[in-house]
Amino acid sequence: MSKPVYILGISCYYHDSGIALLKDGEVIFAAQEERYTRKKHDEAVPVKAVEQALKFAGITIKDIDAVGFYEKPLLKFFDRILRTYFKVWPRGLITYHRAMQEWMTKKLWIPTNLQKELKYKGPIYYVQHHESHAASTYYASGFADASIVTVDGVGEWATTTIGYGKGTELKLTKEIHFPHSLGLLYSAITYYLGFKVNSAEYKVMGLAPYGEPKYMKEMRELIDVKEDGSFALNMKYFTYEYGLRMTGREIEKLFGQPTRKGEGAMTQFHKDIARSLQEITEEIMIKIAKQAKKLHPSENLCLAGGVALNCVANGKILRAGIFKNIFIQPASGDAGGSLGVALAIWHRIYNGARIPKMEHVFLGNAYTNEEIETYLKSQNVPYEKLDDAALIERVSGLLAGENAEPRTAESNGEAGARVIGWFQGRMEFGPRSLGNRSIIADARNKENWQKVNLKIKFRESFRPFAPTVLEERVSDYFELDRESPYMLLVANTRPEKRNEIPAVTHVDGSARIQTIRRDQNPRYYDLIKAFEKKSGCPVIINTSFNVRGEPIVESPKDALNCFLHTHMDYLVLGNFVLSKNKMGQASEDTQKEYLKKFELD
Amino acid sequence: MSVQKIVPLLRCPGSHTDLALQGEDLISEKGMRYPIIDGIARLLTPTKSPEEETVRQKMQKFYEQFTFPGYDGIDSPGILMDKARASAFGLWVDQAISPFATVLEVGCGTGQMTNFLGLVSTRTLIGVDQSIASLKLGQGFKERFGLHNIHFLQGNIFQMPIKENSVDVLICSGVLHHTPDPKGGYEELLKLVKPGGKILIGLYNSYARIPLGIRKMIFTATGNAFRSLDAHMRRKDVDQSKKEIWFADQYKNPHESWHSVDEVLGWFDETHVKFLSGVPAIAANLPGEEAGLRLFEEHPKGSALQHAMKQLGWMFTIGREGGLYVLVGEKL
Repeated sequence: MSKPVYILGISCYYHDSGIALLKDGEVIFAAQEERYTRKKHDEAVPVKAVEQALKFAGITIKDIDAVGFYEKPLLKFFDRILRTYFKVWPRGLITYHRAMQEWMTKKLWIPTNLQKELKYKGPIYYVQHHESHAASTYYASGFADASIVTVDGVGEWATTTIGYGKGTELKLTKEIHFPHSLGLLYSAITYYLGFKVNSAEYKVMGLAPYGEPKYMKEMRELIDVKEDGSFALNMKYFTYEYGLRMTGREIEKLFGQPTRKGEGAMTQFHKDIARSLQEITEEIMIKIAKQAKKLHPSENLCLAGGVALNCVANGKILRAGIFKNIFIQPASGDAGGSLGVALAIWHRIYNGARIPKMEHVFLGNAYTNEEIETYLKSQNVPYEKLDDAALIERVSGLLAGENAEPRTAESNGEAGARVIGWFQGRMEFGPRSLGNRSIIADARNKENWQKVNLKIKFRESFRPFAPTVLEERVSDYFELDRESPYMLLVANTRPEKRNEIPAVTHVDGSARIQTIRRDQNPRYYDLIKAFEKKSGCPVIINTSFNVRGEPIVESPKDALNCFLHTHMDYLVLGNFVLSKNKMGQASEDTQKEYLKKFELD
Repeated sequence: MSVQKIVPLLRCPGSHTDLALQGEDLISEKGMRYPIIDGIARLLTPTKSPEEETVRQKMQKFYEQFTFPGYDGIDSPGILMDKARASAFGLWVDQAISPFATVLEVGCGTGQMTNFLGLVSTRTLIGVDQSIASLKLGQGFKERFGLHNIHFLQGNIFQMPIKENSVDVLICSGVLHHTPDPKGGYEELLKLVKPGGKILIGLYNSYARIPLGIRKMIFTATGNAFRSLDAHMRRKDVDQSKKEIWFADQYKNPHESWHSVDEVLGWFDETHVKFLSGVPAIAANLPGEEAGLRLFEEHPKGSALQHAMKQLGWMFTIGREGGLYVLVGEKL
């Protein structure tokens, strides 16, 4: 038997570094570096993620046949960065001074740095940024052919591309170039609304349903949209070509209000701006999708790039009926570029055959029950071990509010509303928790909604939660007739069900849906199935398992830390169940015993 | 009433006998009655020596007027969390303390640290201060967010209402230097800590506070002109009202004393407390501490000469923020 081909894809040095490891074309491991370093959006060379990948595959770096990098750094630097520099000169001296230092010391030395930090000596291949995105969605879609659309902030020059794939061929045929960028428009308004750029764009999307599209005229002043979906930004309003900020005084004049400060009040005005931005984004996305269909007629559409994480727009594209099938790369951000470049190398350099559709994202590392128990013992916390069947029975009962202890003024009693940290199996790749590193709760309970928002996520109360629903029952609760395994489609909750599951339904009646089938994640499916049996409801709340401002938990240690720092009621790690009440009781008992002992002396 | 849970840890500040809950009052075995008003047990009794009591009353009056630090803009545990983490010190303390510990903060003021550490609901937190105005702010926050494991009490450092050997961690930062007998206060507080328990003592540093002392002289001489000499007063991102509180706390405080690292290490030695760490470090960091200090691990102690050099440097670092430093120790 010949030795398998191992390809390692890497993205780093911009935001969200990530890796993907292929074995003969099959994705066997993929993860983001931030989960290991615990530094949100970590952009460093993903040394720790590579370490985990090699450990998982049982190989060393010497076994890697090819490394791929998700961008072409030289093209980006000598072409775009320098050209933009001369174009805007002398504005932006300071910005560029900083950027140059970064390029000179880090980014231009990517091959050297990768070789040094990963101790790798083999060949390194580069694929253009948007080609990486395109490859990450098309090659993982399982479609025999497809139109491809990628939209994000900026790669080398391209910010938006249209292309097609057939068999193992993939070509990008149309591009829109920097500085005209839908991603950067979204980020600029995100900045104007006082949220964190490159990180809180999803909050703007969540805010939109609370507003009215009152500022469409102003939006059209910012961006000129043609019928074919091509667009041009009015650069008078944007300063990112030369400034450290995204927008300046011009945009404040246009909208008539100053940029919101991080903790300033959120008014109807801000919500209306968010809504208007969302409208224009959707309009452009639909036009681009139509254009893609026109250029490359196919029944299938593949989407990727940061803007493809805008699940509201995705839902609109789906309902517009332009394509029969849509595949969206779940790791659509830059981390997913690592997967794309690896797949591109597999097909182009190794002439590999297509791989089946990517059915799940549980591609990170796992912890065995032995490892979990060793850790829990070392922390001296009380826990219970259950076998598989008992675990499902117990946790679904907790979710459904069985045997809840009454809530009193003094205790944090549960009164039916239990929120559970759910830590199982392999970690998700991409930005979402999809049932292995999740916080889960009963979606029928309004109290849960408040509790999770205010006491667990410590976040703005306007934000909704995403539901996980058994795939076979999705149409009973939502106006959706297909799978949405990655929480990337938004559809309306059926009107008659809105009162039943208020915690996952937005003010406008919509929900960001994750469907689940047993083959995608048996334990998570069984849990919800058992919950359905007890309650009649096939829907639960699923939100990411993290402390405010931190990356999603990776290890039992992170999970326990998050559990203790929030008001979650239970933590389930593999087959172990931990109860917050029991822990509190145990620590009170120890204290009492101690005092007693002292009094006897 | 949530105070019920910590009654076993409380004592009558005068007679040191047990307290029992009776209706809205705490009652000592000798019949002393301490009311609980607005959820805060009023356990403040006068200091025994009259001169000390005069200083204490002055301080109490001062902090009833200036509640420090304020809660403006901190309207959720999330924002409190962000703020505590941004200061790094809060984060390190949180990481060092066990999730099951009983923690006592003396001189908790408005209780921001107490509330932050109490976000871990399996901990027990007790915050003691003499200023009701300050305690009410902390109590308000705790009640709004249902943090039942946090308890605020009114008390006197020299007549503490807490039993000896009863807490795992003692925090007393920025407080003892406002008392007439810092070392005496330290010794009293240390008694409340279990053997093996940890203490965090924060004091004004004799070197680091020199620039502030000079500014204070200038302000006094010029009738508060040139207030912009203080870096904090120049900040544009802070409300004027907050600045006023800062200014009063730093420059108009009726009583303060300054203490060198070696003086406090001397207290540690005399009272069988093992030095663990300093913030800022008094000698050197441990390997891997770039990501954050590990306060409860034993750090190199360094020599007196090293301390002198470090403290001179502090004039230009922590001096800007008032020259407060913290030493962490373990009661043996």
